[in-house]
Amino acid sequence: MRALVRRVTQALEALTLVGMSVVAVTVVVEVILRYGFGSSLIFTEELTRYTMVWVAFLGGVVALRDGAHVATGGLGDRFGPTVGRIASLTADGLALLFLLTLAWAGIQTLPNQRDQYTTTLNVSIFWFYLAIPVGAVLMALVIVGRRVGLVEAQPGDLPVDDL
Amino acid sequence: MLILVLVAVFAVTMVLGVPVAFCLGLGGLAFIWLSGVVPIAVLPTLMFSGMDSFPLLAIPFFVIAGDVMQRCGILPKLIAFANSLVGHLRGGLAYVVIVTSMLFAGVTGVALAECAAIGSMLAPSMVRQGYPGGFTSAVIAGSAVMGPIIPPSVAMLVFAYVYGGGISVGKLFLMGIVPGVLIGLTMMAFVAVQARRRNFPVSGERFAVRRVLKALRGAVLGLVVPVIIIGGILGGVFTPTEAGAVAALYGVLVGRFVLRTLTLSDLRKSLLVGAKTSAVIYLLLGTSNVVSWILVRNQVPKVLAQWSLDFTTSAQVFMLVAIAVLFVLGLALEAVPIMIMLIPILAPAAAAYKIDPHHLGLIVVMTVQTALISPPVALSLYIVASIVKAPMKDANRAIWPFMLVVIGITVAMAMWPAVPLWIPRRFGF
Repeated sequence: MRALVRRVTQALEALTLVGMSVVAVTVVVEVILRYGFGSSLIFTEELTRYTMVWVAFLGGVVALRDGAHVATGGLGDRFGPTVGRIASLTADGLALLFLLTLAWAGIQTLPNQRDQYTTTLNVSIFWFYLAIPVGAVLMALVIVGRRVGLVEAQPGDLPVDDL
Repeated sequence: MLILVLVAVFAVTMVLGVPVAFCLGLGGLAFIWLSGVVPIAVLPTLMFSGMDSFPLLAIPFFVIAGDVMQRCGILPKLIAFANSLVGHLRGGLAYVVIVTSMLFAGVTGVALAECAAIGSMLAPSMVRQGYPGGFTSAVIAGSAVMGPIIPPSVAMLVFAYVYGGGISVGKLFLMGIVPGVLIGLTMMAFVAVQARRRNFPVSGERFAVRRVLKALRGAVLGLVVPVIIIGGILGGVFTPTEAGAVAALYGVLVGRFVLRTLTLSDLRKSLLVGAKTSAVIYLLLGTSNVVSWILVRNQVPKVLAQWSLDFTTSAQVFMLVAIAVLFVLGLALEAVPIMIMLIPILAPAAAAYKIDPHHLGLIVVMTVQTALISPPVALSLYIVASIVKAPMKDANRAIWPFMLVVIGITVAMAMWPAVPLWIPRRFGF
């Protein structure tokens, strides 16, 4: 089970990487085309902007797995282990409350986005708004998984994982 | 009244240790639920619109660019150059740290990344040569503050975005040069005093122009990066976002074909660092967009601006109060979240005092950098102290002079805007 969860989070990491690469390559190609060939891609801006929303939500899941989100940690621990434990459980509960509400609200708004098409890509905006409920549910799963010991941080050998 | 609930929910959840992005979301959620008139659908919609922006893409690109250049071996060249300049002085390595930080600041825009990179390369040798662990941690973490002040700067990009229009990133970048260099020079003056008093080691190497020129040839690869970025933006060759992408591409090309050290796995890691770092910032921007929408709808920034004006009509007093508030928040919080939360409140007030938004941006960016070195929560300092295994107590004591330098220069820049504006004016701003 643990191995499966690890593989799933690694797959998410790979997806994040693909998204990031798409964004980076598109902008680089755009600049090269403009100065090298005097033309440009009309869809650059929309494609990169919207893809980055996906990257942000999936990357947010990976960052949550690795504990890379900005938070004040361990303040509860200063009042003894019991208080610390209660504080961290409450914190997880509140994070879950937010993420599940976000997912629910995100799903509610999805039907309205069906018929809205992006101007240059001609893709329904639905596919980009989908990042919100998907990302929120996955983040909620990571929080639960961390709590029951199924998800573990894999920061790798990155020098620094957050700001 | 409901606004107070929002603030209380935010504060309590933050103390409990909920990730700050979610704290902002929970505060917004509490308001939405209690108000009963705001539809819940605003939550995802506002988050999406807070994240969906082309200028914002500069953030991942500059993070990737800095990370690539750190992996591709440009940093050792900059260190060699710094060493040829100041390595022969008493306390040479401490100077080398500061000069390298200044040079590397032109390549990277994130203080923590700069601190970790320089710390892992220079801190062990400093301790081996007999520098105290606390001082070593303090000089490396302290000088890394220049990273986001000397352009390029991820923090300045965040400011420009959250401020919401009317900011020239080129001008803001240029404004960081003078204060950044002043911080470096003042820190070097402090090191000079310490070196004599505490009898820091001397390397025995002699200063030689030939050695400087030789090292310069290697360092040029890194030194041209800020020139490309700022030149490109000011010259209208590319947007800040594209400048970030070009800088990242430059790092990849240099790493792959000139220095031949960058592997595909390095590139993969850099992209992942860029994605993860930006994901954290993006989520913060998303949920803070919900909160600032609520605040603006209830005219909170306007009311606060009026209060501030009633309290004092002096722009300078306002700036000092802003610096104090940002500094105090930085004792517990980190730089970027502080900016994302406070800019929507500070901006309208600053406008009421007719403060140039670029000047405000510079002061905000400079002040929040102290968050990384101000105990009890001082990430940069932790990183280096853990590399050299120095007790936090020593590092905390040694950091104060460096922090005073940063605050002192920030206050000076707030009082005399003409000083940081000196370079932008040369470029017609």
